Amino acid sequence: MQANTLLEVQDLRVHFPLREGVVRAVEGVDFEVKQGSTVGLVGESGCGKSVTAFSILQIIGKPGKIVGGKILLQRPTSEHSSQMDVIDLAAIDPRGQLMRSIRGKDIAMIFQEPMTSLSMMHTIGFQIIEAIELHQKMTKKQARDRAIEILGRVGIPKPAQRVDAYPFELSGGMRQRAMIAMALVCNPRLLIADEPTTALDVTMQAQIMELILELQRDLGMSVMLITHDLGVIAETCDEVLVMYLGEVVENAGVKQLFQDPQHPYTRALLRSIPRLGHGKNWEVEPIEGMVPDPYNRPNGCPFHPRCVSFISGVCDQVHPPMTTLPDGRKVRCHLYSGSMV
Amino acid sequence: MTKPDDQNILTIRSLKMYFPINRGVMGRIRGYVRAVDDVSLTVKPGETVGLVGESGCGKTTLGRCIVRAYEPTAGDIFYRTGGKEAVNLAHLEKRELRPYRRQLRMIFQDPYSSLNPRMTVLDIVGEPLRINGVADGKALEERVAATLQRVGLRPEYMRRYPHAFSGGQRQRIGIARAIVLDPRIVIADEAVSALDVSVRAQILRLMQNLKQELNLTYLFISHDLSVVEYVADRVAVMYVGKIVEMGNTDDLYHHPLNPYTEALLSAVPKPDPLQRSERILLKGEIPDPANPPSGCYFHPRCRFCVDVCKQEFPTLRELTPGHWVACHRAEELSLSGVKVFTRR
Repeated sequence: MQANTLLEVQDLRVHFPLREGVVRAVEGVDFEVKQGSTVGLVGESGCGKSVTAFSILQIIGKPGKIVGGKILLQRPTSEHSSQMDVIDLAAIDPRGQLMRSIRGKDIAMIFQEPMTSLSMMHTIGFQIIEAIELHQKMTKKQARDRAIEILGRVGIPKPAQRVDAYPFELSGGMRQRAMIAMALVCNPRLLIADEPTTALDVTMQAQIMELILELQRDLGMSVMLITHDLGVIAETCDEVLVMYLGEVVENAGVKQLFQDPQHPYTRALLRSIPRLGHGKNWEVEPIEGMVPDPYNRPNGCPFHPRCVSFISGVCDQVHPPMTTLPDGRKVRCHLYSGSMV
Repeated sequence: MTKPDDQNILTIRSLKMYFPINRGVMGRIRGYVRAVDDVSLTVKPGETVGLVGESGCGKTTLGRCIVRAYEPTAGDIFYRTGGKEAVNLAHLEKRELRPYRRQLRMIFQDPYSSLNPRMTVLDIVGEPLRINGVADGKALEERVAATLQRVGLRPEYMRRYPHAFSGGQRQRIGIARAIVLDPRIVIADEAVSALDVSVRAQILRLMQNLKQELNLTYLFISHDLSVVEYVADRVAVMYVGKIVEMGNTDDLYHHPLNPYTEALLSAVPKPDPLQRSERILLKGEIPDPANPPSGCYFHPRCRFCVDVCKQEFPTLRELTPGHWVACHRAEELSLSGVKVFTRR
């Protein structure tokens, strides 16, 4: 593992054994997160982007299970040590001491809907102080001061009063800020943001994204941003993973991806969204068909039934390997794998 | 403003929808939420008018007033079609409204909660036909089948329940229910907002095709400015119950006249990493429509605010032909809109 790699996911597989069959929510995902970078995970609902994030923190809902692969986290052996330690998060006990010391400390997460992920029975101050006390040695007074400080840092006006507010007393944007405060209070090295602005209006979305990026610059943390919004990805990420049916189909730098998409699914996605400023000169082209139901994964390439470049006899038979192109990006498609002649 | 008897299919004048706030044991009225406050808007036949704004700005309430799901507090909604006399929908009795309910239909945002899970597709799409006494029995089934086909669903599936369909298919069912009675105006309230991008494009295309085939007029309510630019001929921007700017889509997007429109456009994330621009970040939040600020409702967040903005409410006026704005400083400001792209 390279020194500046924070997280490396190798061939991750997460399955949900259900009565109707096994849902392969994540099926062989590889990627890495460098220190200080922003990685975007984009795809339509059911593509496995959230499950990938949940498995990093080992908080997959039942009956989901990590059935294969590694999630390697590189962290200092102790608080002020420069020695690094590599832990495989996929192999440790989700309820164990080690995992609990990582959640909220090394890796923190913010969710889409702050109203459902904050406790409505407790003040936001209580919930932030709880996170501090779990991971840091502080007195009650110090913890409270720290909570007020972080609330001010995320742009909540009058933090000394708001620290005693209940979530229902705050507006949607303020709740999202409170949740960010809670996630950042222990200075995590990786922040996972799962659709952090989807429930917000555009002006509030702009404020929150700006805040996340600003905090990232100040604190030097890495961010993993999960969203279905290609606009948000383009404006914030360094690197992008495009997912479809539990697989990464393209992994590229943000400029490469938007200027010159390689995978037919990425191309189709970019053609299917209206573009601001292009008006009616831009013809939106829908992707035919729909995401197949998870019990009936297509053979071969999972995208082949909807693909415009579909090659009969290849795409519906052989699962395409991940191919690294000369410019360093990775594409999972037979057009590049050399298996079609 | 415009007279109701000109060529417009819909003429809304000074429409108000106030919701009372009841408090205490006696349920005394302690104030009003002015969800729609003095809104005037016209729609021509065959036109798509976009209604944009952030949550709570009153765009949905306005749509619901037009189909008379709400009783408007004051104002007029003139509806006129086929050379007939204009009728004021706002003042009709429930019984008199009946024939017009067939002509103004609505599509809702959430394809999960807007379809009754205990009704089959045949019941859902056929219900408007039955209630209006248009068709029955075999004829009803045939008409439902034809409508399903028209929206891209297989008629064989009409005995299934909504849970058997995906989000996009459910939205098609909602559209079938809206068009089965051959309406003149369809009010689409965030009709594509809950859908995934690939499916959203399918539904947008379907709605455009239906508009052509059935000569529909759309009122397209959405918070998504990119989608509205793509579908609408004219756009009205709402803020705290009022229209603050209205004009042709290209005019409004490329040369906004209201600072709020400018900020809204600048906040939209653009799917182009080379366009990462300095954006105008609005401070603060949308004011409470029960207790709006003095003067221009936008002044506490506006970067061009001067004294007059804090005191006087700006009226909506036609600055250039067809381009209306409510801003004291509209003439002197030169605001930047969305960059113009002409490729493709």
